[in-house]
Amino acid sequence: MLFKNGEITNNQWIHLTTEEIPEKGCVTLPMQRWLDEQDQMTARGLPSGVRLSPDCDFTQINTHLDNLDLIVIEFPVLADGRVFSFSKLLRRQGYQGEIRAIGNFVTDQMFYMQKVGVDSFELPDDIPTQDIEDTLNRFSVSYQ
Amino acid sequence: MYQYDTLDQTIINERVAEFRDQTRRFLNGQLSEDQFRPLRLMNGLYIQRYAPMLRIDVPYGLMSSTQMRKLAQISRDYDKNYAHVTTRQNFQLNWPKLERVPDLLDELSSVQMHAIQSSGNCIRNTTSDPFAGVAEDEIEDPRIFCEIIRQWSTLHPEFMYLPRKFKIAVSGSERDRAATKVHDIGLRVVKNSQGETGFEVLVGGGLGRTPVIGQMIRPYLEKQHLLSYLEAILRVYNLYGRRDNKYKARIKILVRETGIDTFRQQVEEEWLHIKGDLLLTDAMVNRVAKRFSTPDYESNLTVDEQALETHKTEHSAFKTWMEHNTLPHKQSGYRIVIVSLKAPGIAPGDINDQQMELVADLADQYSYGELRTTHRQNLVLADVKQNDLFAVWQQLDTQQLATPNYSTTNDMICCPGLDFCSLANASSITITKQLFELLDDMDYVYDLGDIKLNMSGCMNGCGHHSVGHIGILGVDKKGEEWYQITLGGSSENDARLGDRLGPAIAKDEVVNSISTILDTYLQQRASNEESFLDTVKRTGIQPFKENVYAV
Ligand code: SF4
Repeated sequence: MLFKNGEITNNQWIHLTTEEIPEKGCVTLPMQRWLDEQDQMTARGLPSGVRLSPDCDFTQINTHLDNLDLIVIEFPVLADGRVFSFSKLLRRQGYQGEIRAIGNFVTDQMFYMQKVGVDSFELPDDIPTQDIEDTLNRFSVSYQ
Repeated sequence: MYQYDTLDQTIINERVAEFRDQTRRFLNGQLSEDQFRPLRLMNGLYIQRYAPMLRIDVPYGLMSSTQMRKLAQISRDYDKNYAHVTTRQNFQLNWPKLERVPDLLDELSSVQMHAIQSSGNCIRNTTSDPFAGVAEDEIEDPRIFCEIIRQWSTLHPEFMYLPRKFKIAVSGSERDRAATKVHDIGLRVVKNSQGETGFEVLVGGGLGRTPVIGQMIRPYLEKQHLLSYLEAILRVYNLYGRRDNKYKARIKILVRETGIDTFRQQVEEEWLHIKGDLLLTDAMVNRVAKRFSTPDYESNLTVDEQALETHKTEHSAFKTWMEHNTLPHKQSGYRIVIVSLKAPGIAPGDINDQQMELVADLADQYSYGELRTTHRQNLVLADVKQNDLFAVWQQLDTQQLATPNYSTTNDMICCPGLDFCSLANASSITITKQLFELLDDMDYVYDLGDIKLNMSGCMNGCGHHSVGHIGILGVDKKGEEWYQITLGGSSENDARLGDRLGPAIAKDEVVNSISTILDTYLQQRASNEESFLDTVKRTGIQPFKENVYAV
């Protein structure tokens, strides 16, 4: 399920790996593929998204931020905290589109993610919404 | 002592609620063991050999008598009536029950204590000089900056999942008593040519499996840039630190593999982006400084020298204790008192509930209600009037807290080892007991002078063996306990790693070998003034090696 702007909403996006890019619909590609096929993506005239794995050199998309509607940061394991810095730096670069977390994170991390600029989350369907709301409102104050 | 404001209190209360919820979800199966592990570690909770272990933060080693009394009560209600002071100035409980940890944390929060980031791959408790604010050689009190770092690093949204743990130490004196060169980041207060104070910044030091001495990354950092510079280092580390191998994940490896110059360049480049936005203003410093209570010293205190002399003549034990376990204070009429947690028959750093209550009472009565923990696992009453020393000694003595061994060979650092830790190859506590037996003649011990003996139960090096003047490391050889000895390490201004003496030594030979090393020093020293460390530096390890391995 997708959690965005404080509620569960429909997910419009399809995440492609090696599959062919369909004519219609919003799609994301892994970073390298997006860089290779960006002309084709732009030519579609549809919202375009990229996925960043913690291992990638995300600075390569710095010059393309205006052409992106969604940047997905991936958590292969919950403890890989690089993507927190990715998100922080993308926002500093002026990226204003959506940043979404997917993968093996736990709801407890969502509070911290929203503080570094992540604004949507793809979660397993069995997570109680109450847990999500609790974690997002966990702290009423912060030092940073 | 720093007093929480509403912001500080709210954060720890909400953190307790968060952990209570995480524990609930773990116990009802919503969180798997793998998911729960990093969450509980970030709250100081390990699951080890016999039971969970909870590490409670003592920020920069400073605590109040109320907090100490609370720990005494908690150790009774949740544990086996004792606690352990760690090499990072924290407290550890060895037997709490997981289900009860949220309640325990709740109790801690009622006295402004917590276990936030006392473990896990995040920014840990910032450590400092146990004599901060009272040392004669202090340039500036480091504790305000430690507190500022504590606040900045607490639940920092970007840096909770670093490649590995991250430790910062701050020293405000000429003499480095905070081991800044063996920390991920070490900050040393220095003066620039205009006489203003700032920080020398060291990076990439650390103990553990691959001990490394930190390198200077910036000779002088203005105080207003403290947080932005730390953030720049942390960001570069978070992005580029290795995550493929946990033994190569500390910042020391990144600095080594990148090279200090390139690393510095990366940090400074990042720093340029943020230094303007993350300024530490005077107002921010004052907000924190204002919440520190400072002792209201009596000026022109007359020391009753005659009474002191009489006590010394009548009680030679008091005389010895005063010589060894009290130190000069910047304020005349006062002394710093070391409360030794290194009595024979007790694991170094252990303290029971009655002892905790006694030192809390003594702090209230004689030392402005404050206590400190040291990274060498002792306690300090920092502001005792000389006229009160005899009374303090008498009471400490009733609870075995007056062993006059500060800074001697049997004031050793020792990790909990086989006795508690699932990783240990060595019964470090058993060895220390034997060492105490070897070193029971205090005249001999005093003749040996300042010797820092550090012992770790395994390569992880929690006992700081690699920077001990004498280091002992437990190693496993085909299921048997063996011990590797190093000589000549130091964690102070002259920080260096000890040199390996030779092949590991069998358990029943360890104490004999140490005895030989100490005797060799007495033979080799150029004069009575030449310390153990200086002697080892001058002669090298050869004479020690020859004697220890002579058949
Ligand atoms: S040095 Fe090893 S045995 Fe000792 S506490 Fe650390 S991990 Fe455990």
